[in-house]
Amino acid sequence: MKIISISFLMFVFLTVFSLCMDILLGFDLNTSINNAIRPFLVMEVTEKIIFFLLIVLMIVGPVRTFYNKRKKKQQR
Amino acid sequence: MEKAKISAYQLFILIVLFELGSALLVPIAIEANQDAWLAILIGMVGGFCLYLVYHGLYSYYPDIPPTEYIQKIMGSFLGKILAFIYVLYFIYLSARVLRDFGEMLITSFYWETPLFILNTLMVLLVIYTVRKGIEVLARTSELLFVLIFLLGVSVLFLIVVSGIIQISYLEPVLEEGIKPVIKTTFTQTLYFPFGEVIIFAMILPYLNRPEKVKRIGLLAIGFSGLILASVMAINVSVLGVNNITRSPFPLLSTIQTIEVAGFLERLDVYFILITVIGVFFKMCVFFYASVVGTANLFKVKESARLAFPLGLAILILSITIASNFSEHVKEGLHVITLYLHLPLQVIIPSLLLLIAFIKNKKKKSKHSKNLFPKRKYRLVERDKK
Amino acid sequence: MNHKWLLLFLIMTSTVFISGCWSQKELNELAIISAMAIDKNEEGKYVKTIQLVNPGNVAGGLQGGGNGQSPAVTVYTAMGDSVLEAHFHATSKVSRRLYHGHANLIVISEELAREEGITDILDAFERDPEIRMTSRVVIAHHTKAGDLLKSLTAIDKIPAEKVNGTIQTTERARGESMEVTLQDVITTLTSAGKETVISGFSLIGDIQQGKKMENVQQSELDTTLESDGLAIFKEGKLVDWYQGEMSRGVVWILDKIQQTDVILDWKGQENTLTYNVVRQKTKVSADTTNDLPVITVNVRAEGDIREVRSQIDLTDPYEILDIEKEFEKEIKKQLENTVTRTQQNKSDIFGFGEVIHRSDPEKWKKMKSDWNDTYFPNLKVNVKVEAFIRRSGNRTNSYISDMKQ
Repeated sequence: MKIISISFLMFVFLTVFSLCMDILLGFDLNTSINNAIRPFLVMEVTEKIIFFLLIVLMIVGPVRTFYNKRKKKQQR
Repeated sequence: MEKAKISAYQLFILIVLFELGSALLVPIAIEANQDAWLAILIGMVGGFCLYLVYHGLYSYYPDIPPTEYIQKIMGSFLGKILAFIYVLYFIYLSARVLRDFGEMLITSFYWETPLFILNTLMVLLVIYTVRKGIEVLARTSELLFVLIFLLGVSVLFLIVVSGIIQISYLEPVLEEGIKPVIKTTFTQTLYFPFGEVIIFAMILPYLNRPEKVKRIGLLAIGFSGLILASVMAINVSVLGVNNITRSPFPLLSTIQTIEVAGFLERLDVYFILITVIGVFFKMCVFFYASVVGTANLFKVKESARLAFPLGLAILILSITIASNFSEHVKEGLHVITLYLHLPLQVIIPSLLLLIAFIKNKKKKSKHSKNLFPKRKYRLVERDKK
Repeated sequence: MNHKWLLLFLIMTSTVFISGCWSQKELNELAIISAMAIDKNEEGKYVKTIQLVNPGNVAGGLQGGGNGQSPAVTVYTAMGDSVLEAHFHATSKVSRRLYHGHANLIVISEELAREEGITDILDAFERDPEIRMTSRVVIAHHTKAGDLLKSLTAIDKIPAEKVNGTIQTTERARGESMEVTLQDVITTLTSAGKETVISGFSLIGDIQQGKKMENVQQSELDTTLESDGLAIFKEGKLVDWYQGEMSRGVVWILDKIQQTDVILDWKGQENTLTYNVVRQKTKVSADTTNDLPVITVNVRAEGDIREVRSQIDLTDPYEILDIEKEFEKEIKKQLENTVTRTQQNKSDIFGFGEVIHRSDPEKWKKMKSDWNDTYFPNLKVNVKVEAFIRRSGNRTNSYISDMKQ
């Protein structure tokens, strides 16, 4: 759980970071946000499947560990 | 921190492969036109100085990674924020390297494949390697260094044999004087690729022989600097200044010009091999440092488990940082060097070194005060006798 | 344990996917282009001709006997408003994906080069990663560029090979032609101190005959392709055409001569001695002490006497010295002729500007903008030739000396 939250936190900060870079380059906020999201709108089906799979894989690991720990706690 | 140790030779190879990684890919120092090789050599000297700064910090705190000793130097709160910024910086840099690599593959060969897929393949590989730890990374680097060396030497041989080098393209040397060269060095070459050695500050604690760190690091930077300078000189002498300034991947254009014995042509695959290995190592090192740094900051016990989520973050980041190639290049050359590289690679480490130096001086003087109580005891003992 | 088997299974199945990729192209889905040609027709549209290889007919001709066989190449033509658009229109005529990796030859028509210049048409070629920068460029003289591609040739099954091979051989043996790659053309276009020179090729005979297989089935072909001098450009537009000794002069000053023949008149008799240059080295240097630079062309040539048509005594070293001096004069005259004519054309194809740039960048900056029109035509060019005669083949004196005694 901790891991997912950390990585999410990092991800949020990183997105802010890259938006800052874009803004420093001279674009305004709207354009930078558009620039960031646009690539994801043109994805093909296969890409979307792989993307989804990766996110699922990321979540499954820690969630399973979490459940196992819970079970162990309950067993005690 | 893992309980792993790497040898001096492995550190040397890691630094060399890291430096060559994406620097072979992009036209570094090309704003100095035909004097690019000079700018690289000067940048190399600058890299030496920066490395000595990082080494100085290492010598004050030999066993702990920078994320910890930054906190020790700057105090807990400020230090944590600064360390966090550094970790973000490392992740951002690895996303940039990934993006460079994906763009190169797409431009030259896989132009129908989406960027996401190419980046995913590389990221999965890097995640797997980083999960296994620094020892695995170091050992892999030993093997792949031999491969890159062989590839590089044979490419050089082919370039020379095909007679496409025209030394006259390198002239006139210093056409506009030394100023543009110095300007290019201090606005670009110093930071990319030489300033990125700061990442090794995170890896230096793993060395099994701390006294060799200085020598190995300087040797490695010197070696990679010489290689980069000669590669750039060859690029200019084969393509000429006009062509090279318009080429996004000059080494690729050079290798495409090789024609030996009428059938050894289209040897672009050499370039791809060298780049894949180089970029893989660069990303691994950046990523490893970010994972270890994050684990350290947030007190996570198993840093390997952070690898996958962070890798995913890098993947997504590499897609969002720029929506087209020219934006990516412009960011890299103008925005990042001024706002990120300069403070984080040069200013802050020097400041940290200064503060650490002052603190240590204070420690030494405290030490000398402590000697007095001991002497008192001795006098008493003598009296007893 | 289950995990391991699952992982192994996954790895093995994923190797199936590695063999292909997004941009996969099978060999039988590709149409391999061997040459491309660009013309402009009366309506102002670009006409692009592509020469595709018929793989089955390239090798099979030897076995099949050659009668009634279809030619080794097929040619398609398409039109468009820009080069790339014409290219795309061509895809509607071909059943496979056009593959440029082996396109070794790009032919541009003389008309297009004269009227519009070549600057606008080369960008698509340079940008495409599939087209090699080492492809040769050729200008079609007195012919449509597409016709050069349509004519079938003997000995070389693929006409593009014949064109490239001929230029290479001519460069090596006579020095009247030069292999010019796409990279060379673009470098010289963007360079301020050197103008473009491209070799020319022409079609002798009737193109309608040349298209047919019967053309190749005769001992003397009705329609052939021939190397035809050099095309001189100024700022991307064709301004002049050099042939024979003039074109050799250009190649000589560019230091690209590997072997060539110089014929000399001797003592009143015309064309008596032929000197075969085996090695030569040409150095161009610039002296920028005055306002107008002085260029010195230093030629050092070494060779043999290959044909004698009179009674010269070649065993006498003093005679050889005299002959050498005559040759030096002759070569110097030819080179000076070439330089004069080029200066009249006001186009610095020799790269004298580049030489000045390299030796004295400050002066060059001042002269750069007017180089071709103001400075180059008024340059003083000194040609110094040193010719050495080493041998005279398998005989010393000609049998003619013995005959007339």
